[in-house]
Amino acid sequence: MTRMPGRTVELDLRGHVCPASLLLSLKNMNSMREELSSGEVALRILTENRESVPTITDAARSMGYAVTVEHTEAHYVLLVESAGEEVIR
Amino acid sequence: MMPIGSIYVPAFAVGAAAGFLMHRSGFCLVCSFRNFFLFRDVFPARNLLLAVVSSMVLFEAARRLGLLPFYPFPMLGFPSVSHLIGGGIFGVGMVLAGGCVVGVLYRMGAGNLVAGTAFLGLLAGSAVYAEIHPAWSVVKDRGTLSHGWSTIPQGLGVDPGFVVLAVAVPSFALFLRWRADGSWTRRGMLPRGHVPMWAAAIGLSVLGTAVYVLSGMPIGITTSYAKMAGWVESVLAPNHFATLDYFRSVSLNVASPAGEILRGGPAPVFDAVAAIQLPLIAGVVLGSALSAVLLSEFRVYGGAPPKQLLAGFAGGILMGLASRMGSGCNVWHLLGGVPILAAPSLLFAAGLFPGAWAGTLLLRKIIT
Repeated sequence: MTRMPGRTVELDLRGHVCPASLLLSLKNMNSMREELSSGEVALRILTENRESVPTITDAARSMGYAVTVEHTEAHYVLLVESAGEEVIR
Repeated sequence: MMPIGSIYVPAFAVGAAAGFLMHRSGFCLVCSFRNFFLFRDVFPARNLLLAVVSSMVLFEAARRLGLLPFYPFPMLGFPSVSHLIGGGIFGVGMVLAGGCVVGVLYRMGAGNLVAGTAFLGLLAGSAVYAEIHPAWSVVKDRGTLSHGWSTIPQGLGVDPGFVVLAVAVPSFALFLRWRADGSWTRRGMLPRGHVPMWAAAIGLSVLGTAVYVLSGMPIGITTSYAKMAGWVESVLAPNHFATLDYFRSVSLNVASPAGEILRGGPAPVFDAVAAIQLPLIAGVVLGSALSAVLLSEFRVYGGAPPKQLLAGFAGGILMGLASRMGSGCNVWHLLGGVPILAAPSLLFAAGLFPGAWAGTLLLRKIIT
């Protein structure tokens, strides 16, 4: 099954207190569960907090999402989206 | 033990190595408590336990080799209710600030602005303590539980080696079990240049032992925060500063085996305490900044909401205040006192649990 890319919601958590990155990512992954699971929405998280990279990716995978991590400029970009579907980009 | 005039370079090097390791690994004393209450995540706590037990074994080995000139170390004092209360308030503060007295330094070194406000709070909290010092000294004296012993082995009248063995053997058995089931590896994707947290835990225990051997005391930095606060106050309000007994008190006054007098305290002068602690502080900030620069991750972000900046400042005030009330910070007690089973440090550590729990309740409201 393939789907067209949906809209992307950006969560810019750069400079936030530790552990805001994980708390707010979890909150958004939970509140957008339906849209994320259906592929309607992808969540793009920006953080410079190194400790958040393993914790957010682990939490997202546990919730059944696919995650990619990219290091860009001085921060990390984590893309959380629906898993199990081929995404056309 | 080194002459105090030769300590600057090794203390700076130890601080820099600690800052580098903490930035790369994410080793965090606050996470060890907070993550359990917030996420039921015990991974950081497991690594803290490794650091404590490793320090315990290394300190005991150093003692048996005759490398520790002072045992127990100076400025430890006798167990008092003040340590428990200090630990409780410190626990709230460290969670609100998003880092402890060292975590704040290494995050600030990597460009985090909330950590910068927490650092200012630490200085302010130290100044607040100077105001209540006379009254708190009475609480501390009346709350003292023993005037005869500081450590559990002293209290039991046994060789520290027996107690260390009794703790270390089952702990290392547990560590091997965790190794077998993969519990030392963080699940999830890792950031660039990541150092495993277990390696940082062992590295920090080696660095802590080096500081104890070289300076006669474990890693501690908060008396220097009080010195900085005292200096600021002496410039801004010299008349009021002159009335504060705390800044005339002496917390360190011992003779080294070579006969050198080590004397110092919170007064804003360059004494033995400053000679040991200031290079450590500078080292932690610059070591973490170097790590961030090498990874192209150094940048100052101003994106934190104002309430997080305020929480960081308030957390810093509480930590600065509580580290004076509890006669030391979490690093001094957890990685210095607990490894020699010092009762004041065990009380401070016991206070950290309810404090961190209360702090997570507040932090959750502030963030979400």
